[in-house]
Amino acid sequence: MTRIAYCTSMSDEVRDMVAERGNLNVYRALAHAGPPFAGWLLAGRAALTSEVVPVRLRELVIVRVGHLMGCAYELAQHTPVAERSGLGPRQLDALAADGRLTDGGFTPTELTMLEMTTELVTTASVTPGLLDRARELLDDEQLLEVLMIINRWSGLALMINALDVDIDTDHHFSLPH
Amino acid sequence: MSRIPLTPVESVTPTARDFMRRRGELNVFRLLAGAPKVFDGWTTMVDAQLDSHTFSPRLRELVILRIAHLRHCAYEIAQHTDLARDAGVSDAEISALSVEGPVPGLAEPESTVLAFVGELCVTGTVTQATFSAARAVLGEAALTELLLLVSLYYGLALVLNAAEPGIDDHVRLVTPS
Repeated sequence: MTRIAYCTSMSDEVRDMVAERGNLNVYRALAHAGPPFAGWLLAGRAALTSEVVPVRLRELVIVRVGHLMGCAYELAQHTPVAERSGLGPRQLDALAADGRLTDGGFTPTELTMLEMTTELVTTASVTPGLLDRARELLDDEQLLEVLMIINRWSGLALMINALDVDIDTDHHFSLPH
Repeated sequence: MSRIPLTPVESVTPTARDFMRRRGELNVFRLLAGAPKVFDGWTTMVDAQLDSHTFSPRLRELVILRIAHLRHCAYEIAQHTDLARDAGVSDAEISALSVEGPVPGLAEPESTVLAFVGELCVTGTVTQATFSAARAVLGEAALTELLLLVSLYYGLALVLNAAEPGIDDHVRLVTPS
């Protein structure tokens, strides 16, 4: 059960952004923080509206991070988004912490990004050879955005895990515009 | 030598230029400015956290430097060792922040806050007892803001460890004192 009461007194700006994204429990819990939370939402808007990284790759990385961080909440909210971006059971099974990434039928770029995600989240670093391979497959802007996706959703997993946020039963994440 | 090229300060967007003028022309910002679609949103979040007066500079820097050590992030350690010293953290305390187990020698509420941060960064979650202790000393608003601060530096450490921008020779992050 979520470890704190949900915030009921949000600024108009925060309430609108939270409503746009589906009034999820995670937002209602974090909204206690006020302006820093508003800043976090704005960073999220940029991350989720940028088209530099294909949606399918973004969601692959997010779901993989969710598994590696043991964050069932991220998986519950992002699995439907991942499915809408074209990922099926074969891919989603391969992303599980005990799954085999090579069984997912991923493109070479997707597989390399998932290997980088795995190494970074589990060891907090990336070997130079793997980063060099990543740079051969994506341009630097795309690679930086992938790293920022790993950054954001691993940090979010920590917050969700600490707050033990209940998975929403009647609200669903909707992408900001 | 950064594994991903840094953007020259003269080439960043006007908004990014303004941010660097206020916060410092740090290599980390020149690195992330290579992803202009998400950089401005991210800096909005950073500003919102650094402009907040919820935590004293000393507590904020204790938390950040602890995260930096637990993530083995040489860049964050270099930046925030100096900032911690400026915020009144002693050399003995700075050394203590790099230990594996509990950080010795801190009084309350710092001790409870650092125990919460350490457990979260090392295990990816916290026990109910650890959570309750932190909420008792901080309250819900400051506790959620602490989560946002941990999320920021925990995730950023991954990007820095992957890209390894060179450590800045002299320039340091400008924070409110």
